Amino acid sequence: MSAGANLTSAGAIPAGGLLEVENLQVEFDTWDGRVRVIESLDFSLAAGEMLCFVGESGCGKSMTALAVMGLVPQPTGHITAGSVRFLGEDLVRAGAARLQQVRGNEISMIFQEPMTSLNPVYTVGEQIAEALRLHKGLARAAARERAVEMLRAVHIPEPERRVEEYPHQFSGGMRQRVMIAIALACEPRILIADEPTTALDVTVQAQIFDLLEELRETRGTAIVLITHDMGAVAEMADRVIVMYAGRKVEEGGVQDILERPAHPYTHGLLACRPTLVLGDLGARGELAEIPGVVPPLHQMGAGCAFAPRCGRVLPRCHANAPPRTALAAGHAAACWLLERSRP
Amino acid sequence: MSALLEVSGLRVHFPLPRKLPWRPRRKVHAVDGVDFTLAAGRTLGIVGESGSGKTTAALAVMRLVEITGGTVRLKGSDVTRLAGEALRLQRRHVQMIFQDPYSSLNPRTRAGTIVEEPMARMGIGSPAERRSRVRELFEQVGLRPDQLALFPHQFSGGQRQRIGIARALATRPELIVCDEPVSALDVAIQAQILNLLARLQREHGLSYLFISHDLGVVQNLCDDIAVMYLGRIVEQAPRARLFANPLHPYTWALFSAVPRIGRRRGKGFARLRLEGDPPSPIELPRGCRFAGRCPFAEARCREEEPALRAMGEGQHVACHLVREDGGVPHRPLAL
Repeated sequence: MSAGANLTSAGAIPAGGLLEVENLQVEFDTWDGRVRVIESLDFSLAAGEMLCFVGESGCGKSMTALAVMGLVPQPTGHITAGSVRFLGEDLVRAGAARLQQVRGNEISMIFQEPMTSLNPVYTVGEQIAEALRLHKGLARAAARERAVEMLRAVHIPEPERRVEEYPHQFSGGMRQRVMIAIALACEPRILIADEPTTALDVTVQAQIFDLLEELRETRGTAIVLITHDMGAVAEMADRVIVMYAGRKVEEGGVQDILERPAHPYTHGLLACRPTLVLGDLGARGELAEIPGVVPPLHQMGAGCAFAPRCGRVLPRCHANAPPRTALAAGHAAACWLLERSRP
Repeated sequence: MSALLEVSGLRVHFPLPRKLPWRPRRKVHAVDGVDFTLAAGRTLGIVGESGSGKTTAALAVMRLVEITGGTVRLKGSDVTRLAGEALRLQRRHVQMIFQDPYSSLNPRTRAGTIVEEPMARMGIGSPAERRSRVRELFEQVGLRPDQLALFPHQFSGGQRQRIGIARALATRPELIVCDEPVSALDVAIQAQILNLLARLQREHGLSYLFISHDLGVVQNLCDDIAVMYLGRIVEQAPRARLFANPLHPYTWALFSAVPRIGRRRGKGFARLRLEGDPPSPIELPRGCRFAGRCPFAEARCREEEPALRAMGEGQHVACHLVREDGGVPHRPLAL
């Protein structure tokens, strides 16, 4: 069974890629008035690609994922501008029924909390089969058979037996595997994983990362990985988007971001994290700090959002938001420092 | 070297309710025979995955769970059996910083009062002295005096953790137990709190018992590290030694599981993939507790539980397969 056979839109992938997000803008109504949580965001995703979104909480990483899925919380949230083109079709303008067809079938998502994302009163087999019955019109028996197959694909031992069990009979790592099995049951083209390992132990995290990598290789699923861990980025990503306060501050290949970070925020994220060093660390030094916290979105001024926390701030940073500066093929950042250093 | 804290043979078992009246009562072996010492002014890190018993061991040191067996000595005096008023008064010497800065502060109490409370409870100083001490503590942890009257919800996560640290410092304890103090905080905020903890230690000669699952954090802050697995210490060593030369296969697996900047997919790093989850702490396996997940396990490992052996330079390991000359079953880490 191939996912392509069930596509309603054009089968061939347009030159631009699988997913094209342009000028996306998401706003929320709050007590402090309307705030913009995503500001003119552009990105694209190619088939089989692993794209990482990285940033602190409140930077709009998860909201970007929800906007792509058409799941911006209602009635307070609004997509006020831009488009999300999936194989050429604009999902922002698609109706609820069409979105229902796309979600779980063409684009799937797994969440941070495997404990709360599964329904405790249904067996995991039923929860995997549900998506297959809804989207693929499979009969009960066929769907169950496919559920067993999916559990085997995510390396759950004794899948024939475990398919009849309930979520509480699974450990945290196993539940996340079940979530991945549900998400991949219909062979989506895109899997969005929102901090999939935050609630898990490191050895289990390594298992899940290996699994995602394997599924990408064997099925060609494009994966969007949302994380705050630069170590995970280093191990998983092809391309990286660094978000700060709802804006994309830097974008590039994983090599560019890790070895030639251009934005001070990217620098900060790389330096502030005490990463494991094999061998003798020697005398321990102070960790680099990013002072302060992400500002509340309603207090955002006209200038660069990172200016109040930036160690290399210039007077103009407070006045105007910096434009995007292209640095190399596919590597760009929005910072006035780059503007100045440009020939 | 004077030991501030000496823990020997510590066991904490939690009885489970009987399934049927005639069935024997089963127990969770959360901590099952653990020894460690912490010298004054140093930091001992306990690392392990969830269910390894690291937090329970810390709570036992705090006397916040019932100790099944073994002893906990603080500055040479046995505190294992202290009770009532004696236990309450002893608490001023040992304080704790909690993991979750959201649930560990009373939402209806002002920040200044939260920090003052331990002193008030212990009857330390006059009200005026206590108030000036609270101001001093606020300054030490990087909070402003105008924040004294605010409520916890008016602070960010990092600031709340600072309040928790100020509260722990209030009674001038010698030992502070830190239970995952940064794991609930945002990445950029973790560095701020870790630097604060390191500075306070230098300035006040504090000793930390530092519980964490994050090896990067532990390497940055701790002098000595104990690795726990299923209620037992499997390896213990000074920091430099452990990270340069992990002996136990579990330590090695743990290190290789941590994603690191500089290790890239396609660059061909060797990761030891551990299959499955730790076994249940209720029905413990025979032999080595790690044998079920250990890729090198032999018949002997499933029969006989290995004891913690000294390997020189302060390193201890509990594994049959580590040879006396320090030879290990796994490939040495080279990445």
